[in-house]
Amino acid sequence: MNATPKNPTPVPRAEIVKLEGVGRSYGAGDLSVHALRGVDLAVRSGELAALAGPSGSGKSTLLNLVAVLDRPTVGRVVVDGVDTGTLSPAGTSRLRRDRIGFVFQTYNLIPVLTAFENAEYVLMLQGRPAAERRERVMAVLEVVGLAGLERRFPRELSGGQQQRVAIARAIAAEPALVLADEPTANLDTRTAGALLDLMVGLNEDKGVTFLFSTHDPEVMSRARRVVRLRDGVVEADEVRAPAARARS
Amino acid sequence: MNAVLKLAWRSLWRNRRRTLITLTSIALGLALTIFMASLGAGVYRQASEGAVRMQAGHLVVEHPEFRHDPSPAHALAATEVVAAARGLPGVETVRPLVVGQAVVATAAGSVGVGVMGVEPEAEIGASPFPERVVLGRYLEEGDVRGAVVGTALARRLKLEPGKKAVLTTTDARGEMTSELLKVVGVFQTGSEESDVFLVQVPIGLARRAWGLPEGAASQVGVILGDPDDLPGVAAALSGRVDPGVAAVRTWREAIPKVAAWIELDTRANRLLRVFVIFLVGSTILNTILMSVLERGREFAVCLALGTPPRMLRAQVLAETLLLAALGTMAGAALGAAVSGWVQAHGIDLSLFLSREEGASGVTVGGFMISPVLRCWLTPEQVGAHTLLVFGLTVGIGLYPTWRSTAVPVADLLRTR
Amino acid sequence: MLTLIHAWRNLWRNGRRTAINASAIAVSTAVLIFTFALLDGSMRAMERNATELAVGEAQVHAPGWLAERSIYQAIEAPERVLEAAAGLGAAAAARSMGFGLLSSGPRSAGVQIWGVDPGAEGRVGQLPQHLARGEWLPGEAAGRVVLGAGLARTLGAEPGAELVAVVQAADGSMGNVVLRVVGVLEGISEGMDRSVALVDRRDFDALFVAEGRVHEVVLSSQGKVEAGALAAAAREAAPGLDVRSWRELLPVMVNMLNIWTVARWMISLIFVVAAGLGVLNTMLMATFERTPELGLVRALGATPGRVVLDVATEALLLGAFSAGIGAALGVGVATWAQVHGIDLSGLGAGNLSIAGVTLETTWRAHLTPGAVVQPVIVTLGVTLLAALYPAVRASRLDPVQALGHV
Repeated sequence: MNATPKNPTPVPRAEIVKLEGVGRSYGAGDLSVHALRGVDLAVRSGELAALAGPSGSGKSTLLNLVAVLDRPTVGRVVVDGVDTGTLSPAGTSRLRRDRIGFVFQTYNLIPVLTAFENAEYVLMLQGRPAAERRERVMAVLEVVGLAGLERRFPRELSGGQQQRVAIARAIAAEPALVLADEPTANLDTRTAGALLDLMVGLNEDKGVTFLFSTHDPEVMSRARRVVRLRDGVVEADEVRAPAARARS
Repeated sequence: MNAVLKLAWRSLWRNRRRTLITLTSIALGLALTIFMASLGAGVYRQASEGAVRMQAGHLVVEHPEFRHDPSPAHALAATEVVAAARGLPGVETVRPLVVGQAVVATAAGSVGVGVMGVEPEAEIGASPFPERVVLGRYLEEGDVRGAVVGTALARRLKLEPGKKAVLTTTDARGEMTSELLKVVGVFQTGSEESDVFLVQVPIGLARRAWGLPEGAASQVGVILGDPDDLPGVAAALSGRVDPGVAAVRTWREAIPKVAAWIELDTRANRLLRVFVIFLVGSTILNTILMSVLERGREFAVCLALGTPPRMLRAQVLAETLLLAALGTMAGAALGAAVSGWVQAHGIDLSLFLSREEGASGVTVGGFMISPVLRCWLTPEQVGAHTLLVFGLTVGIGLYPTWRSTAVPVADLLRTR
Repeated sequence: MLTLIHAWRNLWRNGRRTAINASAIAVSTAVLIFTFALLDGSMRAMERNATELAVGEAQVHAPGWLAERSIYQAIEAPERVLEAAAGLGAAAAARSMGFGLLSSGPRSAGVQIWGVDPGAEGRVGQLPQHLARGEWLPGEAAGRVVLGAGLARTLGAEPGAELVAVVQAADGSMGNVVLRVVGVLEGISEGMDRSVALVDRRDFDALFVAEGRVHEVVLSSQGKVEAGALAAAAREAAPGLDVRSWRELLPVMVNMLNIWTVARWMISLIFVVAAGLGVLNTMLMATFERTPELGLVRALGATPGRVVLDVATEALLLGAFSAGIGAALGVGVATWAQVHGIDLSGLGAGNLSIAGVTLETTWRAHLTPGAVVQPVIVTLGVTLLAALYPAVRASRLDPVQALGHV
C-alpha cells in the first residue's frame, strides 16, 4: 500500500535541536578519545531523523549531549531554544521532563509501576491534575495499541509491548522531541517493524519529532532524514522522500 | 508525596527477599538490645531488692551522724518516725532496728558479730530471714532472749535451737554490758557474710544491751511495695522528719557497695549494648547500601525522565523510613515478647551452682541474689531502644539516599 | 591454584559489593574478638580478686579449724608446710588467727585478729597494695594494727588512733594491749572490710600467749601452677593437714564465677547472633544479587557443582581475607584495652564513687587464643553458609530463568 504524501507545512519549522561545532572527548592528553569532533547539526520540529553509523561512531554520545546526560567539551548544544550549557541541575530536570521524551534500547520502564503508571509518570512529575493525566494516558495507550493492558506490570509484558509503553511514556506529555536510542535493537524483525510503523505514524499524524540512533538498515530506510556518523564526524546528512508506510 | 510513598512502598516489596533480609537485621538487632537491657535491669532489680530487704529497707531514717559513726549513741527516738512512715502511701512495712557490733561467746569460742534488733512481726514478709530459717523457728513476739543465727556462726559456736550464748558489747556510755541469748532458730541465706556474721534478736534486748530507752532505734527501715515509688516516698517522708534529728537516706546511700556495683555493671552492660548496636548499624548500612547500589539503573531512568533528584532522594528516604518503622515495630514486639517470657518464667541458673553446703547462693557485695535470672521490662526501655534503632536506621539511610542520585546516568541506561 | 586466582579476580570484578561484604565480615570479627576479650577480662578480674587479695591460691589449716576457728587448732610443725611450698616453687605466708574485742572510747567491735608476716603477705597476695589510707605493718613487733575500712568506720579510728584490744589468750588469761592504727584496708572483701584487724605475728604471740601457733598458711604460685594441682601437691607434702584450693574455700565465689561463665556465654551468643546476622545478611544479599550472573555461567556450560564450588571458593577467600583483617583489628583494639583498659566512670552521668565507696572502674580486656579463634570460625562459617545457600539455589535454576532473575 502506498503512503499518502504529506504537504509540506507552510509555517517555518523551529529548530528543536541545534549543535554548533560540538566536540566531546574523554580522557586527557595523548590518551584522549574523541567521540565527537566539530559536529554541526539541526533537527527541526516534525522531523523523523535517524542517526546512523557503526558502533563507536558517536551516535550515543550525540544523543547523551542532546539529553543533557553529558556535556560537550567544545561547542554549543541548544535544545528547544535553550542553551544546555547554561542549565542548572534543576533546569536540566525540567528540560527533560517538559521538553524531551525518552525511548531506550532496553525499555527501562520503572519496574514497580504498571503500564498506565509508567506512561503517567512524566505527567505526574509535571504536576498535572489526575483527570487530565488519566484522559491523556488512556489516549496514548490506545494510540500505541495497548488498550486493555494498562494494569500490567512491565514483567508481565513482552519486549515489544514494553517498548510501546516506553513510547507512550515518551509522548504522553507531548514533548518537543523524542530521543530514542536503538529502540528496535532488542526486538525481533516483525515487532521492530510494527514499532517503527507506530513511530512513523506518530510523526506523520501528530507531528512528533523523533531523533533516534540505529544501525539497522531497515529502520534507516524508513526515516526521512539519515545523519551518518563515522569516527565522531558527520559523514553524510541525507533528506529523503518519505518512505513507504507499511500498515499491517 | 503520595506518588513518592507509592513508589517507595512498591519498591520495598518488589525485591521481597532483600527487604526481608534488611528487616530481619533491624528487628533482631532491636530485639537483642531490648533483651540485654531488660535482663540487666532485672538482675540489678533483684540484687538491689535482695540487699535492701536484708538491710534496713528502701529508705532508712537514722541519726544524721550514724552513717559516718555507727555508734549506739547515735540512735533516735523512733516512735514518731515510725508512725509518720506507716501513714505514707506506697509503704509496705516500717521496721525499727537497733544495730550494733558485739562478741558472742559460747563454750566453743567467741566471735565478733553484727547484731540486728528487730520487731519480729515487722520482719515477716519484709525481710528474707524468716523464710530462711532451716532449724528451729524465727523470732516471735514475746521472745525476750531469743536469737536467730546463721548456719556458719552456729557451726563455729556449736549452737542449735535451745542452746545459750552470751552477747557482750559496750553500751552508749562506754560500759561493758552482757546479755544472755537463747537461740531459737538457725537461718541460711546463702550469703557467707550474713551466715557467719549476723545475729537477730528482739529489739528490746538490743535496746537493753546498748542502754537505749524504749522507742529508740538506730535505724528505721521503710520497705516499699514498688521500688519505683522511691523518690515520691522519700520526698514525703523527708517532709515529716526534722532534719536536725534524723536523716532520710535511700538504699543507694545506705548500701553504697551494692549501688556502686549496680551502677558499674549497668555501664558495662550499656557498653556491650553499644557494641551490639554498632554491629546492627553496620549490618543495616551494608544491606541498605547494597540494595541502593544494585538499583542504580532504576534511579538513572527516573533521573533521565526528568525526576528532580530531590524527589528521588525523598523516595529512597521514604523506603528507609518504612523499613525502619516496620523493622523496629517487629523488633520491639519480639524483644518485648522474649523479655516478657523471661520475666514470667525466668532462666534458672541454679543448675550451675555448687551443691556444697553453705554455697547455696550467689552474692553481690555480700548480699544474696537469686540464681533465677528474670528480665525487668519497662515501656521506657522498649521506647528508648526502639527510637534509638529507628533513628540509627534513618541516619544510616542518609548516605545511601545521597548515593542514589549520584549515579552515572548515561552509562547505567545502556547496560542491562 | 588457578581456581583461587580466578576466584580472587572475580571478587574484585564487583569491587563495591566485595568491599561491603569484606567490611561486614571484618567488622563482625573485630567486634566479636574485642567483646570476647572484654568478657574474659572481667572473668579474670573476678578470679584475681578471689585469689590475689587475701585468700591466695590454696590454704593449709589444721583439721577442724575452718569450722571452729579455735586458737588451739594450730598447724603442727608449720615449718614443713613452708618448706614444702618452697619446694613447689610457691610463696607461702603463715597466719595466726584469734578473736577479740577492739575498742576506742565508747565504740567497740568484735574482730578477727590476724597475726601476719608483713613481708610474706606481699608475696602471696596484694593486701599491702589495698591500703586506702596510712601504711602497711612495719615488719617488727611494735604494737601496730591495720584495720578494714568498715571496722575503722565502726571504731571511728583512723591512722594514728590508739585502740584497746581485749582477748582471751591461749593460756586462759585475758590479754590486754594498746595498738596504734597505721593503715586502713579497702576493697578486699565484705568480711575483711568490717571485721579483720591485722597485727604482726610477734605482737599476736605476745597478746594471745600463742607460742608461735600458726593457724593458716596461704600458698600462691602467682598463677604458675593450677590451684587444684598446688593444693594436691601441698596435701601430699603435708599429710594430716586440711589443704584446700581457693575454689573449695570460696564456694560462693565459685558459684559467682559459674554464673558469670553462663552469663558470658549468653552475652557471647547475643553477639554471635548480631555479628553472624551482619555477615549472613550481607553475604546472602550479595549472592542472591548474583543469580543472573550464575545463570550465565550455567548457560555457558558450567555444571551446578562447578558453580557452587566457585562461589564457595570465592566466599572462603573473601572470608579468610576479611576475617584476617578483622582479627588484626580486633586483636589491636583488645590489646589496647588490655593495656589501658576502658574507664567505665567515663560512661554516663553520675559519680561512680557512691558515699565514699570506690570500685575498680577500669575494665581491662584479656586476650586469649580462644577469643580470637572462635570469632574467626563463626564469621568464616557464616560467610560460607550464607554464600552456599543462594548459590545452590541459583545453580538449580534453569539458566534462562536465572538470567532473567531480578
